[in-house]
Order: sequence, then structure tokens, then C-alpha cells
Amino acid sequence: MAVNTNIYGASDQWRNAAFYDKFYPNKKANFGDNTSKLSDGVTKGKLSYNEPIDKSLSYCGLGTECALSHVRYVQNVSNTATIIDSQDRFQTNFLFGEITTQTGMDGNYNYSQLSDLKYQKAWQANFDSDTWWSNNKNKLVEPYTSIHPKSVVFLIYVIAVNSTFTNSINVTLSEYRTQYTTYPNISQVYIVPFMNDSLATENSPSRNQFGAAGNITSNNRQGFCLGLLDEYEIPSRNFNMYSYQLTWSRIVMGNLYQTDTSERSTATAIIYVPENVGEHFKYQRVNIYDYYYIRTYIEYYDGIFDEIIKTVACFGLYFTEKTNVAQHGLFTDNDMYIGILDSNGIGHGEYLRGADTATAPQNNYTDMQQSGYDYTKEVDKTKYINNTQFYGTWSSNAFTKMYVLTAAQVSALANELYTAVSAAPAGEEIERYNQSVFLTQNPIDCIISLKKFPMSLPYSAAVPMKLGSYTTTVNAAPLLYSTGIYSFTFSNSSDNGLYPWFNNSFLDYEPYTKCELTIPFCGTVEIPTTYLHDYDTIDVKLIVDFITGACTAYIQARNITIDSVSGECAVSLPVNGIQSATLDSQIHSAATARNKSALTNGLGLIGGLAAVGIGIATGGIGTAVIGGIAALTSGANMITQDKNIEYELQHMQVPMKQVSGASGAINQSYDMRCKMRITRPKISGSYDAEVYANTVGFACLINTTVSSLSGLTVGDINLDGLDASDVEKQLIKNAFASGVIL
Amino acid sequence: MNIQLLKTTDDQRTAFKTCTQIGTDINAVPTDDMSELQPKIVINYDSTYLAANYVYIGLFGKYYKIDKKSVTIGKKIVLECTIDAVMSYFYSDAQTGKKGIDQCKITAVRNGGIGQPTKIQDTKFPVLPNEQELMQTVATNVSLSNTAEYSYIITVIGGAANGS
Repeated sequence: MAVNTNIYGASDQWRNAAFYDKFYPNKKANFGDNTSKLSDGVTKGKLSYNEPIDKSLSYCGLGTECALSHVRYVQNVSNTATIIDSQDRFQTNFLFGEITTQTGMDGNYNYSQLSDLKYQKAWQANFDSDTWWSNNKNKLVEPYTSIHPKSVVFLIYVIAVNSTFTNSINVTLSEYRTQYTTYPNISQVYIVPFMNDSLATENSPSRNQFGAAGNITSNNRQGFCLGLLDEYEIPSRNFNMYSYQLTWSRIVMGNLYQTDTSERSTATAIIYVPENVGEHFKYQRVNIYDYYYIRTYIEYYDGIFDEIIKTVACFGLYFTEKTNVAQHGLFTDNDMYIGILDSNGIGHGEYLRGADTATAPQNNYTDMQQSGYDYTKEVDKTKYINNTQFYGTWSSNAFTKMYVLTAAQVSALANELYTAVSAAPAGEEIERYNQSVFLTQNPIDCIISLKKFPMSLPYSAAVPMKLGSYTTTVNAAPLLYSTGIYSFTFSNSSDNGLYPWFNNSFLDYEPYTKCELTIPFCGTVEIPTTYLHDYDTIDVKLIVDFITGACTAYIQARNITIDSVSGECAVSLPVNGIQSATLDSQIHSAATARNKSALTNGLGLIGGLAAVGIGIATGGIGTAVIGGIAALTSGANMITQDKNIEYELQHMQVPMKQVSGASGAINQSYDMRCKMRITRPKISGSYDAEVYANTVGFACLINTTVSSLSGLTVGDINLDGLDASDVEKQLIKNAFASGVIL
Repeated sequence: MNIQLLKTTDDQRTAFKTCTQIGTDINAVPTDDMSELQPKIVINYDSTYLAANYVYIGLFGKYYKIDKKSVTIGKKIVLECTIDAVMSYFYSDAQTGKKGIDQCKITAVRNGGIGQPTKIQDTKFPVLPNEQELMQTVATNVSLSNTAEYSYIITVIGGAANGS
């Protein structure tokens, strides 16, 4: 949806934003005469105090996965911190902007919100005085009307407090991953924009932090701000309030560490919490130096890091948790992320990372408004599309650990094994040393399994990998989640359903038209064509078990599961001689058993066996095939089991196995796209609808009165009440049975 | 009895045929005992009468198809007719309240007025038996790839360092 030019000025009149990026320019509003502050908007008659700010500034919607969509109002009630109300929105509208300090204003700008909400409206000219602590600084906000997706990289910061609330840290999210045990209470998460400075070249970023709204200590400094544009209804004990929450800050989670309620006892803390924060959101009324405060914070829990990343991802822009990446990182840097917006322009916490960011559609935007988001459009929540979702927190135990590696790291680890063995002290028997360090005489036996997956895997911060008790020099990222859901979507926004109907007739249904889904790793599933006509979205949710490599695909029509099919997507790579021999032996045995079974039953070799043969030649076959053949037992119903095996082999897409994890020469012939195939009939070229209508008539089943029909009509007529002889009635019935032209 | 000689070019299956009258009402006589269903009547010869293929017999108030016309000695034309029951009973009479076929209920299994095939299967429809059209749509909103970078999972004996 385009920015409302009637309010924010014509697009060719928009002004350059401060910290202007020569490669990726951003623009801000022009309310007239080159003025951009919200107060100028009021002066020019485009905005009004106490009225909502036009939401077309919001280039995307922040979904329910963003903490800003979940608001908690905490107030002192009878000397107890109490959540007096909450708001949970499906989507939140916002603005980005900048703010310039004015002469005479004190530099102590620590407000992330209007701290005193006893007034009727938050977006207003001023409070009861013009002193700095009560003057509405929102007036100074200059909203951005055009944001280039590559103009900014957000760096995520965390303010956290220790368990006794005596010490706090203000660090990047990456740094916090190693400090959360000491500072487990998160009071605030905020984002800082990094934008290119004059030293940047097109291929060599040089970004600096754009001045922070809470960090200005002198006049005429620019600060970056984030404001929320949705109306809040905040109940209070003493009066009704209705606030437009323009925060002019960069906070995306939590809020102020504490709110002063000593003088304004009716103050309400407005806190943004993650969707799944649950009981981890804490709020207390505390007395510090004879003043009472409401203290709010989020207690650390497993999953909070993911919630923070999802919250920032909802903005659909590039972000990172590392300072050096924010300053100099390429957009495809390993630690660079970009949020993904759905087809409605709403962010749901999904993101791409590293090299995968190159596939984000925002890379083709020049303005984030191209996301197509329309804040006025009511979104059908049942059509929410979740491209990728991870769950199942994975924790290591004392005996085994799972790491996510790159191909290069696998190579490095292989080389490391030799180093590990050579680390034995001089004079000590190698076997004794290995036994004590690796619990086995062969260090490679510390490796239980190595699997290759056809997707990027979720991982946490890298740590030095350990084999047994030996610490390697390979920094490996522990597996973060045990399960991933990859969603494929087939949709058609027209009213005709999922694909163009063929006359909307019997020809569009079985047996004339058929629909098959080919799902990577799982095979082919036929789905009733009725789902193509009655629903405009078919989803395939491929759930991958990262622990076993198994996957199950659920086919859904409008979130209702209509079928499912399973398979295996990981390729097990043998890491030692014993494993390789065992694997090949299993493959050979499986193929031999299948051949023997087929020949015994006179069924002959089936096409699926060719796949087994190929698997042997390249050394790769899915364990599911082995399992299916292993089920074949003597004395059982050979024909039934052969049919089962035949089904499995014909419907199993055998993954190609790579010889070496570090070779990089991986067979791409295996199609990993989810495809929908529709076969439909062809009509004779001589078919003429008019001729057919007048000579044969179209098959139908219509119960009606004769006068309502026209054209050639064949049917059974009820002649009750007709004053005719039986012979005449029979003649009439016979005529309609063979066809009467009405 | 009076009859009207009529001519129609409509399809035989047409319920109520559009007719043009030949000449004026004619006086006709039966040849024998006259059946209401298959009457045989005689009229005076007139060459124009030979063009008629339908006749309305006022005595019965019904329409008949002329099956056979014969010219006899004595300048007569003999008409052998069969009742067109559908045409005779098609329209209702609002004045008398007499019900016609047009007000009767019907379960139609074929109809040309629809204009196109319906969801009812039609085994007569000219579908080519061995030819089919294939269409394919690819979902592209998720990328799976063998070239994904962090795509190996290794399970090892031993815990990680630093409590991670």
C-alpha cells in the first residue's frame, strides 16, 4: 500500500533522511515547505493532535510473533504490581523515523514512552508545562516514507540485570548468549540501525550506528526512532484513557527497567512481551531509596533467543547480533539475517540467514512499501502461511552431542582426528591414551553418525567441539532444534479455486482430472480434485526430524489435514570402514531379497529395482527402503509383501548419496521442489457446444417445472393433473424420454 | 367439422411448433368411425392443401401430424393423421384453469439450454479417450538444496564446552 501522499507529501517531494545512504537512499515526509516533523504535520493541517497518525507509513505488519504485538499494562494496584490489561494483536503497524534535538532541550532523554499517561491522549502537543520532562518529544519525530531494504542493518542489543538487581549489562545479543546465566533478567531488547557512511563502497560496507534516540546528549543530533501506530485502550482505576502509542524509541521487547511511581502513582508501565513468554514475564512493586517503582523484566528461558530473533525478523529487514557484521558484513555473511514477509506483507518471525538471504524478495525492492502490505485489509488468519518453523528444543546430554557443520568443518574435523591422536604424551602407549581420552582405541569411533540434510539447519552459537574429553579446534554450532517444518504452498487468489476450472464440470473431477503432489523425499500423493475447487490454498507441511533424518509431509487444505506421507531426507554418510561395509551389505542383501522374492512369485523384476541397483553403484540408498525389504519374512504372504515393497520402491524418491562431505560435488539431479501435477482430459476438436446442445443435450439432474427449461430436454415428466387419456399421457412421456425441444 | 390445415418447418421434437395456416378453416368429414388419436378425414381438393403437414381439428381441440395424404377420384383429399400429444396439451389455460404440460414437474437428465457441461458425468461427451493435458505447478516458497551451507549434523560422544 502506498504512503498516503495527501498527508505525507508527494513522493517526489519527500526529503532525504539524515544519515543519507548514497547507495540505498531513504526518504522522510514533507508536510509542506520542506518540513518533516509530526508537529509540522499539525501546523500544515495534515495531522491532528489526539487523532491517530495515518498508518500508511507502516510498510509491513508486525505479526503475532513480534513482541510489539503483545502489550501488558502494569500498574500499582493496592500496593501490588498488577497487570491491569493486555492487548494481543494479530498485526501491529509502526513507523520508523528520525528525531533531531532542539536547542534548549536537556540531553537526558531516557524516555521510551510517555511515562505519565494520566492525560487523555499520548500523541499530543504538550503536557501541563513546557519543561523538558513533560514536553511531548513525539512532536519532533520525522517519519520515514521510503526505506530501502539495503539501507540498514539492525544490531540487536539486550539490557539485562543480575539476579539481585544490583548490576546490569548493555550488550549485543551475541554477547548476551555467553552472559545470560549471570544476568538472567532481561529488562529491554532494542535494535540499533547501522547505515553506510562515506567510507562505504558498493562491495565493501562501512556502516556506523545511526544516533540513538536514548543516547543524545547534545543539541542538533539525529536519533533513530521506532513508533507504534495502533490505538491502545488503557484502563485505569481513576479514569478512562485511550492512547496512541508513539514510542519514539527502538525498543522491541520489555521496556524501561523501572517506572517511577512515587509522584505519579497512577503511572502505567507498557511492556512488550514475546508471544510465548508465559510465566517468565515478571513484575514487582519495589522500594528503592524510599521511592516505589514498578519493576518489570523477562526472566531468561529456553527459547527467548529465538523469540528475540523472531521479533526483529518481523520487520522484514536485515539484522544481526554481532557488531562486526553490522559494521562490515556483506548481506550474505553467515551471521546476517533478513526477515521474510508473507504474501500479505506481514512478518511472522521467519527469516533467511547467510547465503540464503540472497533469495529474499526484498533484494529486488527499492522501497519496502513494495511488500504490498495494506493495513486496511483484514487478514484471514486461516490463510497464514508459515514457511519455516522450528521447534523441539534440543539439549545435549552428558554422553552425546549433536552439532551442525558445514562441509569445510567436516573436512577440518577429519584432519583434526590425526592431530588428536598425535597429542598423546611422549612415551605413552597410543592405545592407552586413546582409551582414556576417547573411550575407544579408535578416535573415529567417537563419531556416532554423520548425516547430510538438504536444508540449512537451526543452530546456536558455535563452541569448540569435543570428542570424548578431547577439545578440538573446530568451532561447531550445537543443533538448536530437533524438528523443522517446511511449508510449501499452492494458492490462487482468484475466486475459482486453486487452478482454472475446465468448464467447472464433471471434467474437472475424477476420473477425468487427477491431481498429484510430488513431495520431496516422501513421494507422490494423489489428492481429490474437490480440494482444488473448494479451497484456494493447498499446503504441504514437511516436518523433518533432525535427529533421525525421517520426514513426514502433511497435506492440508485450509489447515485441515487431508493426507500424509513419510520418507527420509537425510543421507547417512559412513565415517569408518565398518559402517561403510555394513551399509553396503545391507543394500546388497535388500536387493537380493527383493529379486528372490519377485522371481519366486513369478512377478518378475519391477522398475523400482533399477533404483536399488543405481543406489548400490553410487553407494547410496535410503534406510526406509532397507526397512521395507527387511520386513519381508519367509512364510509370509509373498504377494502382499511384494506389493508393499513395490509400492515403497515406486513411491520412494531415493536420495543420492555423496561420497565425501567435503567434496562439494553433490548430485543435483534429485528435484527437491514440491510439485503439483494436474492431468485433465482433451475434448474432440470437432466439438461444437451449440450442436451438442441441440442434438444430445448436456447431462444434468434438474428437478423443476417444464416452463423453466429451454432447449432440447430429456427427462421423466410428472403428468398429474393433466386432463388427457392414458394413451396420450404415455405418448407425452415417451416424447420427453427421447427428447423434446422446449 | 372444421379443421385448419397447417404447415410447420420446426424440428419434429419441438414441443409447440410454429405453424402457418394454409387457406382458411375447412369443412371436413370423417371417412369412417373417426379415432381421436388417429383420425382419417376427407376434404375437397385444392392443390394448395397438399403443402400442409399438420392439422388442427376443432372437434377434438387437438393438433395432429399428417402422416399420409391421398388424392381420390372425385377430387377429394384424404388425410391420415396421428395426434401430437405434446403440442396438444402443452399450454395451460389460465381462463379455464386447465393444466398443461408447461406446468408439470420434470426431472431433466439432459438439457441443451444449459449451454455447457455440468458436474453430472456425461458418458456421451466427446472426450478423447487416450489423450490428456498435463499441467504442473511448482511451490517455490521454500528452498531445499543440497548446497545449503549448515546442513551436516554430526553426533559425537562427549559434551560441549562452556556449558553450551
